[in-house]
Amino acid sequence: MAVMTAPLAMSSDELLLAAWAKGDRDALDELFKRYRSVAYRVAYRLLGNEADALDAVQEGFVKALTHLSGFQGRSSFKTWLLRVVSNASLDLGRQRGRREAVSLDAFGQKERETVEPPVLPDPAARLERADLRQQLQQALAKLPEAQRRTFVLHAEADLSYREVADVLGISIGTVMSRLYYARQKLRSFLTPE
Amino acid sequence: MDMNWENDTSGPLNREQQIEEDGLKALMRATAPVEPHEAVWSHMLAQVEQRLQSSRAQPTTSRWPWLAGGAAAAAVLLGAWLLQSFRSTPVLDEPFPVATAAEIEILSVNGADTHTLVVGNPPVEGALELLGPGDVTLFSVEAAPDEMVPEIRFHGPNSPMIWAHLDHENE
Repeated sequence: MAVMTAPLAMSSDELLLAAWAKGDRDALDELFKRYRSVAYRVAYRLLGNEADALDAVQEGFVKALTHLSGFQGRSSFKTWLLRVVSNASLDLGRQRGRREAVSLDAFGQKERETVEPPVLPDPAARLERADLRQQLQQALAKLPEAQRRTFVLHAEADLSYREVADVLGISIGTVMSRLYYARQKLRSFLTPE
Repeated sequence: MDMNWENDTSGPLNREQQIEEDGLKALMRATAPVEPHEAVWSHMLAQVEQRLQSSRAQPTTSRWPWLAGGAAAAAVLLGAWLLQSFRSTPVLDEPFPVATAAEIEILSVNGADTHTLVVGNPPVEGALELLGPGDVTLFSVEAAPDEMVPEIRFHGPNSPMIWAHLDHENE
């Protein structure tokens, strides 16, 4: 097996895709490492639980790489991948029904072994963070699907207005409008009564 | 002022909106989902590779012969079904269930009409016995406001029996 070298890590997505098309498994590994986290965070925000998010990420990577003809370099691989992952997340959400934000997080239990960020060693702080996460997930769940998707792509994946518009196939004006209403609703949902 | 907001993540927001957006983004970062363990990612990557290899290994064949064959088979099945439908004996009329027993609440029904109920059960099946033999002690009998005096039967297995004659029975 070839050892991943620095040039591969510094290669552009296009070069990695070309290398993978020729059978370079390390290129796929690099692509996967680059975008697995952001894909997971987007899927998690849309689905609200770890298990479904992981399923959506796997499905998204397979579909994105199987249907590269739909990409054809018109946008970045990142936006193409997030488009497919968000579609897969919404499809999965409709099939399975959106679950409540994982209550397991609040009690520190995990379905799979996970790694807590080192900046929060205090159990009380972790609990507070988990509680905040659950509140935010519940607020996101109340948004209409289009607004939720737009907001997550912008705020979680840090995509620009144009990139969000490319992912969703809508105009920049529509992106701005959805974000405006999403912010309004989230503010009302998250503001203590 | 930077007008190139189309590629700018901040966009043309006023100060208050920008503060609000920054706050929401900070909240998103602070509540980011816990990253799965590396073993989970390794397993997923293996699954992705396997599925990609499987999709690459499938031979590319023309779909048209399969579509044509499928359409022909569907046409044969449809014809057979239609033929059977025309030849089949008509189904006897059956009551069309517009409501189930659980959806019906019977408020009242004359005793003589209980046999006409097609759904639901009457609250009482058969005669409603209010008092049994030996449960009644007769002290006195008076005429009703319409001057009807009931007949009292003291003998017999079900005595005393208080029998209020109806008008047509007196005719």
